[in-house]
Amino acid sequence: MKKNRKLSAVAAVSAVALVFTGVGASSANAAGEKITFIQGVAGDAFYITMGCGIAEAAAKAGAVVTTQGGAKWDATVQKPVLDSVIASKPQAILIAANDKTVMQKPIESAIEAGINLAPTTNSDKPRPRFSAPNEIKTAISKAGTVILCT
Amino acid sequence: MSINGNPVSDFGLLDERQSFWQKLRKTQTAQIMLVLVVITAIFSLLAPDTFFTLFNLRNIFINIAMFAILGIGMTFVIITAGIDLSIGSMLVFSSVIGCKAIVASGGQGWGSTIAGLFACLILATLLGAINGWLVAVANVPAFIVTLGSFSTVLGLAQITTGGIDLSDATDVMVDRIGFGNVIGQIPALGVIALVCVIFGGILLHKTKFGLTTYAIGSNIEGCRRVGINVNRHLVLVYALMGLCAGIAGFLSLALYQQTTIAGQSNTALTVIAGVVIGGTSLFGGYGSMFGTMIGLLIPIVLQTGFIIIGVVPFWQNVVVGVFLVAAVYVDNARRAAAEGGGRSLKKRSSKESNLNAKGNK
Repeated sequence: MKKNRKLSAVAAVSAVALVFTGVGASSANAAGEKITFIQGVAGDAFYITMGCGIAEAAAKAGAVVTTQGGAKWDATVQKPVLDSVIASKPQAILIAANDKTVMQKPIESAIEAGINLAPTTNSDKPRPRFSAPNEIKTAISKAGTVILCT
Repeated sequence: MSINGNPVSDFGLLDERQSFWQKLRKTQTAQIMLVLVVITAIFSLLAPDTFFTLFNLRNIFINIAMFAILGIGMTFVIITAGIDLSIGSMLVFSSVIGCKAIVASGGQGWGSTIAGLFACLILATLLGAINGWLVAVANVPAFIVTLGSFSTVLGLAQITTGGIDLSDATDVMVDRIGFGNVIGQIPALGVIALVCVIFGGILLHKTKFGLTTYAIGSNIEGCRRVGINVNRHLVLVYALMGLCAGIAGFLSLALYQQTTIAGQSNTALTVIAGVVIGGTSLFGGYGSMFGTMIGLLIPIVLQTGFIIIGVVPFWQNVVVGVFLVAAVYVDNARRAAAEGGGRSLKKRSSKESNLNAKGNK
């Protein structure tokens, strides 16, 4: 029994250590306006590039971007990620929605939680999506806006 | 039903001579529960305004619902020393057939919703029973059977739909079940899952069916010799797994408003990891429903906690992986200690004496 307690203590301590290592890596978002970018899928070059553009535009607008994303291009994976991001109450959310049907209600629930909606894409006039700091500035000033990049 | 003196009573939760708390304290569940409490406390401290909020707890409750229901069946299957890798595909195919049934019956009311529900349940239960028959009667290893049906059933779902998701969920099921509340802010989805889990827990821990499941996992040959219809029971266990996948398929349709053909490929592994973290042994004969639920909660709490404090998403994979291995290690160490070395020593000495006997020849 003593040995068991030791084992579970080791497990608990290593969990704590892991959590704090993670915090160290992300403590940058303490200052400035907080916005979150939800990638279509984590670790994909396309969304990393998109994230760079967002970070650059956000920096000009005086905001700091936290990037999150599901491990797969799968709306069932993305939904809980969006739920948690909404819970973290950022000033603005930018999301590359995996699926318009599945993500519809979760995004609506963001709006119900007092967050506005500002789509940035225009189907007949393609343009670089996140080269516009003004777009992000507006989003932040609205105290929490969901930007859809589809 | 008295089960004192039964060989299964060694395994903690079934022993009626101890109080509930005594039994619980001994299990891995208690230790894993402690880990969950510690994780929750850490996140609550790091993000006091955002983690421990009604909004977030509600989300956790919703997002665990389908995994919890799948976890019920998976706990039974793993206790028999089996495995089911096909649940993601069964979930997808049953929601496809559910959609077809809704379209066929027409309308957006409760009538076609119930038609869809029954289509999901019947199809998935049949698929589960086929898995069970192949495992028990045809004697194909469960890993292979369900790896095969994982691919086959997903293929059938793709053939049925041409690979394009169907979005024919009725309005009632989306508004009342997927996104509805029972009372106040308590989500219907979570309540349905909770009711299923309670039924599953009673079935596993308090009935002859559950006891037989443990017995088969402990000693399948012994069960055959005392006249238990092992094959029939295994078919029923896999059919129960199918039934759970069918319920999850229906709920998935209600929550996502469409079939998720491209998704759910990792669902089986997520659920298996949760069941194992919760203290159910892959070697069979040992496990609990409560443990499974805690085991499933840990990855979900970690994910939402990491996102809320702003950690890169990859950390969740690392931590869950570490937990999985640690849980099995702790489980093995605990069991060796609980058996006081007596049994394992006896086993070892009999093996040694066999070896010696062979050596002497």
